[in-house]
Formats: sequence, C-alpha cells, structure tokens
Amino acid sequence: MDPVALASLVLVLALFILLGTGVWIALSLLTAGFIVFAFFAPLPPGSIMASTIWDASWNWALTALPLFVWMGEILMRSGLSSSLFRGLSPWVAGLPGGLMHVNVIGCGVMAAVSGSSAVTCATVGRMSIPELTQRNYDSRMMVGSLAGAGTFGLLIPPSIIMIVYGVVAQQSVARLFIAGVLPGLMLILLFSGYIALWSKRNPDRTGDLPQGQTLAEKVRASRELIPVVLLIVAIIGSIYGGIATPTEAASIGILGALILAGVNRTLTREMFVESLLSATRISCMISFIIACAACLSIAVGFADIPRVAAGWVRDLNLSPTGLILVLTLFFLILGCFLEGISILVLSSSVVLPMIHAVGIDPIWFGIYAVIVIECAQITPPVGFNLIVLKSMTGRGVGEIAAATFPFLLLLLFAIVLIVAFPQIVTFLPDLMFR
Amino acid sequence: MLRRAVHLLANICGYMAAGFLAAIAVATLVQIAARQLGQPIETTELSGFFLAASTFLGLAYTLVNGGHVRVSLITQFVPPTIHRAVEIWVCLVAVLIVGFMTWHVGHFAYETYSFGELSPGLLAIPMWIPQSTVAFGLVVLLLAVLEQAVMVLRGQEPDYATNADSVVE
Repeated sequence: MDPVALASLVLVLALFILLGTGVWIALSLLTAGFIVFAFFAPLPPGSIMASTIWDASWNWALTALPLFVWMGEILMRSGLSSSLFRGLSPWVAGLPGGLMHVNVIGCGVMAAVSGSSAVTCATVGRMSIPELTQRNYDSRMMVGSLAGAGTFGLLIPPSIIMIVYGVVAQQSVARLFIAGVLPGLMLILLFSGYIALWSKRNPDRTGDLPQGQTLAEKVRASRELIPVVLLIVAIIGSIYGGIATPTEAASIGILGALILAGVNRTLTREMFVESLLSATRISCMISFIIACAACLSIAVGFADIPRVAAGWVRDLNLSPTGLILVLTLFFLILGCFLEGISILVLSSSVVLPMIHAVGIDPIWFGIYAVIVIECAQITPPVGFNLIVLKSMTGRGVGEIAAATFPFLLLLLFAIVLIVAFPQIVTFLPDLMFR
Repeated sequence: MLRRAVHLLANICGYMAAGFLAAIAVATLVQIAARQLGQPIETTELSGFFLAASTFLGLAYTLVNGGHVRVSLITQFVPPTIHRAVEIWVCLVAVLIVGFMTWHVGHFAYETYSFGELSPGLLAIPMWIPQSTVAFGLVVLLLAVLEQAVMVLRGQEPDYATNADSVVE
C-alpha cells in the first residue's frame, strides 16, 4: 500500500473513532492531525502544530465572526421577534397560506441581521409558534417551514459559516456575503411558493386570518420594522459599496443592535452581559475548531493527501457537475452526524484542491456548500434547527424532521438551480468592486 | 477546594474572554470613528490579538458550560457502564492532546520571547505577549479537563455533559 493511501486510511479511521466516541470535535481534529503528523510527515509535530494553531487564531478576517455572533445574540434578546410578527403579518395575511408566510419572510429578514441559523429559527419561532398555534394553523407545516426557513441564517448575509469558509478557502468574505443575496431571495420565493401551493391544495387545513386592515393600519403596524430595515441596509449596503469590511460592518451592527434594544426597552445590564457571555462561548467554540482544523490541514498537507486527491479527481475525468453530485452525497451523509462548520473545516483541506482541479469557481462553491450545509441543519439525528425546535415545541426530533422534509427537498432543488444557472450566484459579486 | 479554585479560574478567564470580545468591537469602532475624523488608526492587528486572547481564555469556561460541540450520539444510547468507559476515554484523549499542545505552545511563546520577535504590523509589540494569552488559556483548559476527568472517575456526571443542552451554533 502506498504511503498516501495508508495515511488517508489512518486519517479516516482516526476521525471516525474520535468523533464517534464523542471526543470534542476541535480536539478530535487536533488529535487526528497529531496522528497523521507523527506517522506520515518527516518532521516532529510539536513545534509546527504550535505555530500553526497560533497563526490560525489571530487571523484578522476571523474577527468578524465573534462580532456577528454577538450581534445575533443581542438581537435575539431585543424583543425583535414580536416586532417581526406584528410588522409582517398584515402584509402576508392576504396571500394563500396566510400568516404561515411570516415564518419564511420573518426568517429572511432575521437572517439579514444575524449570521446563524439557530438564532434565526429561535427568534422568529418565539413569537410565531404561539401566535400561529392560537390561530389553528397546521402545526406540521408551521414547524417544518420554521426549521427550513431558519437555515436562511446561513445563506443570507451576514453569515458565520461564510466567514469560516472565506477564512479556510482564502476567499473574500465580502464577495461571499454578496453572492448569497440572490440565492437567499430565490429560496424565500421557493419556500413561500410551496406554502401557497400547499394551502391551495389543503384549504381545510389553513388557519384563521386576522380581520382586514386598511393600508394606513398596515403601514402603522410595520413602523416597528424600520430599525431592522435600517440595520440591514447599513450592513449589506456598506459591504456591497466597499465602504466597510465585514468586521467594521459587524461593529456598526452591534452598535445598531444595542440602539434597537434600547428603543424596544429590552436593553438591561443582565441582557448585555448574558448576550456577551453567550457570544463568547459560541465564538470560542467555533474559533477553536478553526484553529484545530488548521493543524489537521497542515498535517494532511505534509502527508501529501490533498495533491494526490486532486490528481485522482483529475484522472477520473469527472465533470464539475459529476464532482458536485458526489460531494453533495458526501456532505449530506456527514451532515447527519456533524454540524455545518465542522463539516466545512474537516473536508476543506482535501475538497478545495479537488474543486480547483476541475475548475469550479471558489465563490460559487462557497454558496453551494452553504446550501448543502443548510440541508445538514435539518437532517436527523443531528440537526441544529431540529434541536432548537424540539426545545421550543416539545415535539420529537423525528416528527420535526418529517415535517421539514419537503423543505429539505426544496433546498436540494435550489442546488440543482444554481448548478444549472450559476449566474444566480455569480451575478452580484461580478458587479462588485474588484 | 482545589476544584472550586479551578472553576473560579475558568470563570475569571471566561469573563476576560468576554472582555476581549467586546474589545474587538470597541477597537474597530474607534478605527472607523478616527477615519471619519481624518486620523487613521490601525487596529486590525490588535483586533487579531484580542480574538486569539478571547478564544483561548474562553476555552475552559466554554468547556465547563458544555459549549464545545461533540457527537454525543453513541454515548447517549449505550448502557451506563460502557457510557462511563467512553467518557473516561474521551477525557483521557482530551488530557493527552491538550497537555501536548499546552507544552508546545508554551515552548513556542518562550522561544518568541527569547528571540525578541516583534509583531509584523505598525504596532510592533513583542509577540510573546499575545502568544502567552493563548498558552495560558491552554493551561487553564488543561486544568479544567483534569478536573472534569476526576468527576468522571468518581462516577459523577461531568459539568460539560449536564450543561450541554443550551448549546446552539
């Protein structure tokens, strides 16, 4: 057996055993890196792993990550959920499917100010679950659309996972953010369209509508949304216009989120400390995984696995579409057991040279990977959105996953669309400053 | 007593980590404000150091609060005796790898100190200062992992498992 194949086998086995037995993901990556280094690289592991983990931990591009996490944690506690519900419901009440669309559009709006799918799902669900239940909406559809639309948090900028991808793939985070806008809008349309179609076909299972409102009443109700809209414009606009880096946009976002909480009278000392500590834990967990994954990447690189894997893909003469098909299956299987960021950093050192070998645009691949990871957020047994909704509704993970299944298919359909029409992804970033 | 001290240390470092996180935002806002006033201040390098400090000082605090993700699928569904064996294995791996990294990162920071290496940006501070926050964070993580391992060996449910429900990405 040649050394590279043996190293790959050892790597896969080590990761399987470490992750499977429940060793923390970051430490699993570190340990697997150590094993590959110790047996298959010509250098002692200690000093290289130490300098690698240090270099990966003060990467400036990564500073946007804790800030966007904190911003999301502030907004989640700022009373935004009720503003979203009250502001959006008069406008969607006339559509087939009624207030169910608040789940989809509310998640879209929330996703444009928060970078995480769990925060998006929890913030919108906090208000819409009790309100829709009270109005006799179909509970299956309610839970499914919420879990599905919550994943917009990953795709619609700002996005934590795009920062992670930008850092590991050395791509511009600003361009990734902008590339996510059109696919995000497309998914909102797909999800809302499905809800409308479903309620046309099941007229007996739609819920009660609020009484009709005049235009003036509608406008008054949506006044509460003005601060959020301003925040979205400030963040996405400043990045798109090239005025601010993602880190700067995030700092302004934090300021805006604190002001919004102040306006809503939810800004207290406890809320401030709680949001900051929660953000510290989440960002510590993610940044540590990234730093540990850097050690694994460098070990894998020393063992020559990425070059051989890329050559192997080249020799197979796989078309880009063929490779995407294989990778989609691979990511979906991983997604049943791991959460998105781990999948991304775990596979990047081998997968990125492969996509380079067949000539896939790395920005496009980033958006593709985010949509596949959205699927991973809602596949059992490990899907973060399922777990969030389990704690909010008290239903079983299996039941929630079954309700979410149509939306999983819609996400897969979106992948087909961006493979067939890559312009959906590349159009806006191509217009951007170079 | 010793265990209380470890918890206290982990919490203090956790609050420091939170402080460093907020400091990234403050430093960036200062940079933006200064630019508007025509006074360019460069804080990107400083923000990077704050990020490293925040991540590593927060490690032990995040561990004790169940914030580090892991695949708990198997450990959930096995009988209690095997469950305990698996947890002992998990803690053993963690102690070994964290111990290894602590030693080498500490050594790395000491080498930078003895070479007198300065940071590459305009700030030009000695590199060992930010590096020592990383090394110290790893030391505290090692202490916390050892403390959790003792809990597992005594047959108690470790804190990282009891607190794990609140974790979301």
